[in-house]
Amino acid sequence: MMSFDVLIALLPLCIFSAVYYGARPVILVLTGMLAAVLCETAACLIMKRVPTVADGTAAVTGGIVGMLLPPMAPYWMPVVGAAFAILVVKMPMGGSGRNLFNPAAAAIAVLTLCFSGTMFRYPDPGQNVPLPLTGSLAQVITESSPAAQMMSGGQTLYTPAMLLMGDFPGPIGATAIIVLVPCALYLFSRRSASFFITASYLAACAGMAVLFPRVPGASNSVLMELCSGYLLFTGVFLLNDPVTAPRHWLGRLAYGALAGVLVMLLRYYGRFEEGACFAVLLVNALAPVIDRGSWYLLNLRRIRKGAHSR
Amino acid sequence: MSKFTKRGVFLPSMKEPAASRPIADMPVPAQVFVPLLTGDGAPCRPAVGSYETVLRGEPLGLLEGADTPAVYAPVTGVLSDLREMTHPLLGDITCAVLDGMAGSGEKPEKRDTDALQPEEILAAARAAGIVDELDGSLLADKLAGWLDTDPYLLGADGTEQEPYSSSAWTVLNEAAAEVSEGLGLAARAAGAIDCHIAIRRVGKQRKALAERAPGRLICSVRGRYPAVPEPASAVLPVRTVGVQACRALYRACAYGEAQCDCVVTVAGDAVANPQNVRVPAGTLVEDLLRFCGLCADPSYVILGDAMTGLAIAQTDIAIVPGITCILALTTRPQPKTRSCIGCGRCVRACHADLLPFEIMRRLENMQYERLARLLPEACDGCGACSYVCPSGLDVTARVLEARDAQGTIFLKWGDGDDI
Repeated sequence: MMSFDVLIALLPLCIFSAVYYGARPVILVLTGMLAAVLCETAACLIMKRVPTVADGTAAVTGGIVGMLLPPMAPYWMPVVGAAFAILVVKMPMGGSGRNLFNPAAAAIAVLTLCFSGTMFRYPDPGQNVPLPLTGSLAQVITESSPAAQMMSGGQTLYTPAMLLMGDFPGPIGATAIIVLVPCALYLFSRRSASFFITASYLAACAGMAVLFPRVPGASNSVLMELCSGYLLFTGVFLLNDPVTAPRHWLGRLAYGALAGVLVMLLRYYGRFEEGACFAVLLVNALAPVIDRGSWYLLNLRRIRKGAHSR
Repeated sequence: MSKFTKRGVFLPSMKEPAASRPIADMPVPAQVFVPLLTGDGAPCRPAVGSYETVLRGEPLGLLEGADTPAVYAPVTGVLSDLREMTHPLLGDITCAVLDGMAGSGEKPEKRDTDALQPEEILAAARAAGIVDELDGSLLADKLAGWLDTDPYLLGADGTEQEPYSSSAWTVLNEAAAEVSEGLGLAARAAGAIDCHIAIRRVGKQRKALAERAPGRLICSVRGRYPAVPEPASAVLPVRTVGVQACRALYRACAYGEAQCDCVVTVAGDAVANPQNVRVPAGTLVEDLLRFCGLCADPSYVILGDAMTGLAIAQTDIAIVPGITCILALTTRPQPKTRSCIGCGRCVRACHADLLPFEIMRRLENMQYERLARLLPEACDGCGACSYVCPSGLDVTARVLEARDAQGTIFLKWGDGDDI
């Protein structure tokens, strides 16, 4: 089952986050999962269907929503996000396998729009101090993330080693680059993620970073852009949602490349430091067209021949 | 362009132990049900009266209209009844019921086959009523249709890419020389440039086969299912005939024998004794299963192999040439089904380069007018998309439904802008 592969891949990211921030991020992710599962069960009961929770897709959605929140997000945030993902984006479209948009990306987009202050307030991981589980978070030292620093045009303070080790402010699951890469390889090997999508997405992002750098030096620019925010997490988890991604290999290449260009454009001209979720929603809408278009393109001759013979 | 990504699926091999056992001869069953049909579906009338005895290999059915024999008695027996039956492959048919008894016709003498003209070979194939087990069509019609077409290679397809069947391999083991001779006759009759035997084995087994069929090119086909049975060096298109049909053609030409029996693989986890059995045509599936023994109560009996076979509800179905495998399974091969999540594995698996999930979705949404553009007619029903589906859906059946519905619902709904 593909969704269980994704859950397995989310596990090490969770653990890595707990090393830096303590138990709070883990609880956030679990809250998101639980909320998503409960919402899906409730929706299935209201729609008088057999609950489809056992296929694991709801847990994946809730988990990804939790993963993309900042470690110091309040506990109601994953609940709101997961509820929006399941009750507004997924179930009204017909449930598992029929949703047009990625529910997790839509939830993050809504949270970003409504609570942008909270969404981009990240604690400084350099302290290695566990976050308080309850009570006020006012004492926690916050730090602006590399994406925000690049957006404001300032110099960034993070070395490549810090970026790879996840030692920089960012969402719960998206900073640990050194863990994300093996997770991606695991998903590729299980055929639960498409290499074509991720590769063309990252290539497009890197190409944009080389052509239009925001920090000096081409290699530095590529590294900073790919590692900051949740760009890499998007390429591995959000874009590879089997329901909303194209199925044809050429369509997958085009889909990934288009998403990469959009993510970078949203970073350059967008209102927020990270707009990958909006880019995912935009390409989701185009996915069916991309899919059929690429297949028609490759089979034009066959289709014409078929039309003549009929 | 489709060579950019590899198509097809890797299948497990479940051929053992049947493949390494010799072919068992089934004793004459108490009753056989011989469909009174020629291989191309023309009805026949019985050649003998009720309660008359007919010897093995003698005419049993005469072609309606023309009085040429077209169906032969697979066993020596007494014609006791004519019965209407529904056959999953042939449809509604009339069967001649023979009460079998031991004994056979006289042994004919061997004739020289080297001097036979193409027309004589075709006539012998037609007279023997040989059916090609690859597609269940008449071998003579198939070969005659290929005469005077563009140059091509003829291959005896012994690849058996599906998981269980090993009948062609055991036939090759038993009578490689006869198969090779028959293939040569078929190539001569159909005007092929060259011919070869395609198998899936490599190494020692291939070498041993090459020794027993001297002078014949043996090529190994490997890789993903479904693969084309052709030599690696082939530049011409390849057309295929069955291994059993080749052997039957040789025996028809050399001995004047009609095709009376077929070799069927009986396997599956409910079968006590998986093996290849030579059964008289018209034997019932239940008789064959009883002969091999059942170690459990089978919940699924499949006519054909795991990928392309049909699940049958009753086992009182006559075995006809064209069936090379019968499976009796205790568990359902596919897990329970969920809805399509659109993972796209069927697109990767489809060797015809189709979009199976999209065809299935449009069929579900009744968008028939947009279905034709997805070329469902290119599907050959190999079953690879159903095999890889993580939701356990029977994708192949839906695509075949779309393919076979071409003329009907499309006319009614599709082209009807005037509705």
